[in-house]
Amino acid sequence: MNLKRSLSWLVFLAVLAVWIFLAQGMAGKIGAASLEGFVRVFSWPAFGYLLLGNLIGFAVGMLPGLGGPVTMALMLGFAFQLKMDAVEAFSFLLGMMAVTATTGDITSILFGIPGEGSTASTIVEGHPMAKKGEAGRALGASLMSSLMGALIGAGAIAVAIPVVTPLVLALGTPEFFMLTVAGVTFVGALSGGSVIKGLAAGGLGFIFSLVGLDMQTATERFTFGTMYLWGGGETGGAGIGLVPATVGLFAIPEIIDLATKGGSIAQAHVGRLGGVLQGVKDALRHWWLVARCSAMGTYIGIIPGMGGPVSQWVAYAHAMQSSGKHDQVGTGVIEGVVGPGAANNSTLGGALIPTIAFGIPGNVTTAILLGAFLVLGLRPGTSMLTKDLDVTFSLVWVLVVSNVITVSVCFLFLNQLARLTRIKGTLLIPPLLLFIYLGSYTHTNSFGDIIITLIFGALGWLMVVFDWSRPALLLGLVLGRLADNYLWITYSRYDFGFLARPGVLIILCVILASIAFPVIRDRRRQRAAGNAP
Amino acid sequence: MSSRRLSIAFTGGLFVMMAWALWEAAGWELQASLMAWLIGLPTAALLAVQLGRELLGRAERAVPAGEDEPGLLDPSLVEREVEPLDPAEERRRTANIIAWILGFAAAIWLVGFQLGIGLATLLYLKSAGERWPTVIGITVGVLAGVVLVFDCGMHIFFAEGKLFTWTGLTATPLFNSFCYQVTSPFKG
Repeated sequence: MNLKRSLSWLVFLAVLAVWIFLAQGMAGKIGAASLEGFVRVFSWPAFGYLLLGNLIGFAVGMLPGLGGPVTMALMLGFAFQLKMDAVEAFSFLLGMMAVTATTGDITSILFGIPGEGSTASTIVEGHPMAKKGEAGRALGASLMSSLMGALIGAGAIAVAIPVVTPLVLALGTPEFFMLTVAGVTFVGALSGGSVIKGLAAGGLGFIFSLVGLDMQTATERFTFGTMYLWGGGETGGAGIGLVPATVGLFAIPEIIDLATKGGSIAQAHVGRLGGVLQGVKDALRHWWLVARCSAMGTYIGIIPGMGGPVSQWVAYAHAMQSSGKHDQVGTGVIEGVVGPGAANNSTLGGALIPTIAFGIPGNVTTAILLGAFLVLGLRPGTSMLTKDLDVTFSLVWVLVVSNVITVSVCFLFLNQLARLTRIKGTLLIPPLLLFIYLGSYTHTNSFGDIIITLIFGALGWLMVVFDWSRPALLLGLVLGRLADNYLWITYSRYDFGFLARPGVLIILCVILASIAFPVIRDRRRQRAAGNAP
Repeated sequence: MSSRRLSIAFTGGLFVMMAWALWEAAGWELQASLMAWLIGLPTAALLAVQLGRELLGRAERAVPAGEDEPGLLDPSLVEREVEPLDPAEERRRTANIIAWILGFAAAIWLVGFQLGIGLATLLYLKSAGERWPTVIGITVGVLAGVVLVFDCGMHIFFAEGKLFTWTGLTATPLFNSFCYQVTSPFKG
């Protein structure tokens, strides 16, 4: 343990030394820009727009299915209609986006419905805690880890500015393809009951992601001749939208469960609703896990095309692996709430790094934000890292201030929010069905979105009944399109020779280890159980 | 049908679906089919293994929810509210809610979003035995939410219900794009 800790410190100091070496020439400029950015965010009316953005983000985050990117796109027009300057516009738009993952966790924990696509993983451990009457503790842990994650993510932008280029350029498409496969494998292998079922579910998710018109060859893949399935939504041409599929997979089974069991969402009665402080302590107690998951979230955010929907699951898998509670998946393990909470909040900070530095958006949100940059006359790259560095730092401060405000407000009203789980199930079902259908409908404003939600709802419910891994399927769906692109680029450049690349081999070994580990562990347990008297 | 047979049927269904996907991909160009083959083949193999295990009765026993709950809370603080359900009653409730989920979707499709959601909410709550003030309060709340937040606030376009399309009638002035209809005469 001491050796492990010493090595960690050694790596940290080495990274710090490299960073100081790279940043020493920019120290004065960074300090001045940071201060100017801070002042501009707190000036009027920028701060008013930030509060308005926070308020909208708070509501949007809690509404299942209605994602931050959709709202951001809708709100983009307001920013220009009101003739906001760059800092005001980003205070409004980024202030809105910065808090959706935080409040999305609240809906995931209380209702078992992902408030945001990036908060689905919090359901796996957070909602069982709410069902056991530990909603306060789960929310406390989630909010605290969200705040810590957001601060780390925001800090990462500042830290990464001098060193970001080699970080992204070190990986090629073969490694990116292997990373997508690794992400699905980790979650699939961790699906509790069966490694085979988990991996197969991940594979099915990959296949579902292929539905649609292949843009390169104009091949209709599994479209049944239906133009709706050609796609063109936020998944970059994929026929099955992530929002309708996610809402169906996770929300419909929860509605069925709620109606079948009757009563309220919380199935256990706790004499005194406490545990919020304990949740905060849990997050602080697991500070190292929070730091690791925030770093993962930030790094995944940096990788173009990935984002909160991916980082949360990777962080969840890591949190559960490192907790040593693999056999308790889905029963309310606190590490499974803390890890994703930190990761999905740090991802936005990470996603902003390539957007600012290279003009390469890390995800849909930053793609919309990139459009805002250009319309406001900002040019990503050299300009935002030199001439407009104060605007860049204002983004950092918006992330920090928004999360501090939102988490403080959430803590003030946490008891009221947690009591929502005591509302009679019958009264919740119509508004929840409204959010489900409306949330999925906003994907393409077509009834086809609702049909997709129903199909994935049926599939999700059957997967719950027969103990299959829904997260693995969803992750396959999220990463599949990306993996398809990476695979073809890789194959055309290297044929199958890409498998001999050192980076690919390392990731392959990690994948095989993640599959072998649960199998070996289960065999050992069975043997130990067989030897027991 | 027993739970085991249903599970086998589900796994078998997934296997057949994956086999069909591979068969379908055989007709595509290499670029379009590469991913389907590279991921689909091992997935089909895994599904075949799982199906074989289930048919032979060697599938691992799933841990039912709640059987292996970790001791995160002091058990003395927790008091169970929900009694275990009679399986027949559970089946009846499940069928009932599935019918309502489909019913809400059908209502939206037939009469449009606002009217459909409003009607379905009213009927659902009344059939669930709620009192009229509650039924009306929640229905009005749901409708107000759709109109004020999503229609007026976010300008989401709600397609008209098929019933109105088929009959040539229109519900637009009242239920679709409410805000646009109300405010457009003042926009010059």
